[in-house]
Amino acid sequence: MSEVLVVGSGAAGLFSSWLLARDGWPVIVVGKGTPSSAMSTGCLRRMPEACHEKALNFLADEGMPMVTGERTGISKLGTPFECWLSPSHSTWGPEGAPGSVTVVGFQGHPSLHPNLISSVLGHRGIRARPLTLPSTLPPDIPLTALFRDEGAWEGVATEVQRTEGGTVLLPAFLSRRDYWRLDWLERRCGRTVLEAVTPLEAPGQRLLDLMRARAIEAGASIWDGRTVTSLTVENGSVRTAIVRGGLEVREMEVGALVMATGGALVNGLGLNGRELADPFTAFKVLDDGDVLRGGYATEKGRLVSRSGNVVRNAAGAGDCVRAPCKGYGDGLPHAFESAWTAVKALEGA
Amino acid sequence: MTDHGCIKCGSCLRACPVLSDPNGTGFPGPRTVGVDVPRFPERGRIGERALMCTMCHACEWACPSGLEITGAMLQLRAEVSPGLQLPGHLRMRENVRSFGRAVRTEFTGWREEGNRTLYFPGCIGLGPLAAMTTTASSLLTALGIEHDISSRAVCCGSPLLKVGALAEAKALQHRNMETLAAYERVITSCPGCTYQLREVYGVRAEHMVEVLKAKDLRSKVRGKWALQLPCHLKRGLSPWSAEALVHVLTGAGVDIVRLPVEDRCCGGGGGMLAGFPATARSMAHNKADAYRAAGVEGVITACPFCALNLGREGLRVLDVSEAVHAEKMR
Repeated sequence: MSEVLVVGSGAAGLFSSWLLARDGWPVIVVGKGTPSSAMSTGCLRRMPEACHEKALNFLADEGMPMVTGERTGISKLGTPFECWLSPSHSTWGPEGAPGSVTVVGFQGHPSLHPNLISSVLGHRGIRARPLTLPSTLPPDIPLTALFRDEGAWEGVATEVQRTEGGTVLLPAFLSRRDYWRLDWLERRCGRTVLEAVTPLEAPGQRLLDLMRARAIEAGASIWDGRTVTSLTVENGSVRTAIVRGGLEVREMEVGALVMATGGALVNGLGLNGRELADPFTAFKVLDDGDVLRGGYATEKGRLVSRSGNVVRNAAGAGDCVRAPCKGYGDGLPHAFESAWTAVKALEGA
Repeated sequence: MTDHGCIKCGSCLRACPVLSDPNGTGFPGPRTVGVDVPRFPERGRIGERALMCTMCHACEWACPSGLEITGAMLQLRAEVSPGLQLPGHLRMRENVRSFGRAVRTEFTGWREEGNRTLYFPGCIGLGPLAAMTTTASSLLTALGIEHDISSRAVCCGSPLLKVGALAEAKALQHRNMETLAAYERVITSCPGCTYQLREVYGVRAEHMVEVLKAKDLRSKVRGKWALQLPCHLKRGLSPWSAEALVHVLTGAGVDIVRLPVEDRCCGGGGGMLAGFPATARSMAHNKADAYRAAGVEGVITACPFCALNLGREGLRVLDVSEAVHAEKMR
């Protein structure tokens, strides 16, 4: 059986790889650069309708458990953040709203501004106290640099214990491997510990690390740091791909293809002037000027050739696929749904 | 190179192994050095901390916009370095001026027999890791690859490019090209040399891993071993080469334990070892702790800089050529 080539190692690419690998397909995922899912909040704003149970199985992680339902958290600006799925320390359910919050930040570090958040929470009727801990860490350096040893954590625990009760809100900087620290801090201080919901930081990266680990467990091979530079399509099917990594270039046979390259980024859909373009010049791209809605035309998940015919063995998923309408924060649910549709299309073909 | 396209996502900062080291927070970070500063005419004022980078390419792999951050940092070094006086870098340049190599030569087993293959061990392989070179040479012979090790081959120039000594690097290239002209095939052990020979000289040098991947080999080591995947092999030459290292070892029957730390820069590259020894040592020390915690016999790598830097932490560190032997030697 020839390999399924998944182009793009973001949420859509990894979820489709997991689904395919679990069904026994040999899967190679090619991707380079941090995908947008790793820059997300690590939460899903809504349930991915068609495949939410599969998505939950995919995201199951003992070290960083996910919670679902009507969830609310506090964004890193203090505003409310509502979602359907989040890591357990990011949000609360309908009954669990905090009465009062201690907002922990680090002096001079932009990870969390305790005064700003406390003020915003105050306006929302939540009693909040800022707690700014001393730090000389330069603003560009991730906060993990402060927490290399037990002593640093003990220090935070001691400072937190000195404050009045209530929930503790921390900046979100922990990796997947260190997520257990939040449970530790809860036990140590006897307080509920929440992470501020933060994009462009650790939570998105954590989610992606989890997704990668799950795809690998299922048997997918991940070709990191490599890009697909060209594809050949013959008689309505994708046949070969050229993959580049460092100084090396390889050609591979392709049994089936999932295109999940993301939106208009360097390694994703190309931009030709102000118009979206397929960098492989193989597939049809729809563009009415709204580049945020993606570009690849699909029919029931399968990609369409430039001449308008459905490509037998190629499907599209995620931000690169044209979505009829995609609201703010809809990227991740859309990635899951479109990956599900793509896999169904390939397996039905 | 990186003058447009940065979306300020911070992925490069999170990926940087120097920034996440307790001794590395003086580094302004890949975004400042590779993206922000090069845009300004005052970039020359950034100072020596701009050189506190191991050129491991982790930032470049993480960049969602495909920016060539490492290349941009290297270019800035070429502008900034001539005005800097880091003692280790000056010493390295002085070494090259006086005897053609970045560190003192300890190797004595030169082979100048007119073979068509040249084994090019690099400065570290001819210096502190001379024993590794002797073993690698024996392995090549056992595999039927008769080769020379030429005393006329000098530093490839890669370390000099890292400290902005472009003219000196060019002069070394001219000297080496005269030597290389006598050979049809060049085999290297250092990914930095391999890259330099291929990309700068235009010579199709093969890294030892690429030579070994098609051979019948058997393990020479007992017990469980961890890996150190060299940055300049994986992210410099080719990620497939790093995978080939794993296949060579597992194929030979070496009991390999895969650890997350294997992919992390040891701190030995990019002129860090000479320029910022405390940071290089701290990065190696933290890695060594992680390896020890895993309870392995030692670490196998395919880069002399990794072997040198990690080896100083008291770990047993082997080059791939020291971990296997040719099947027919049994």
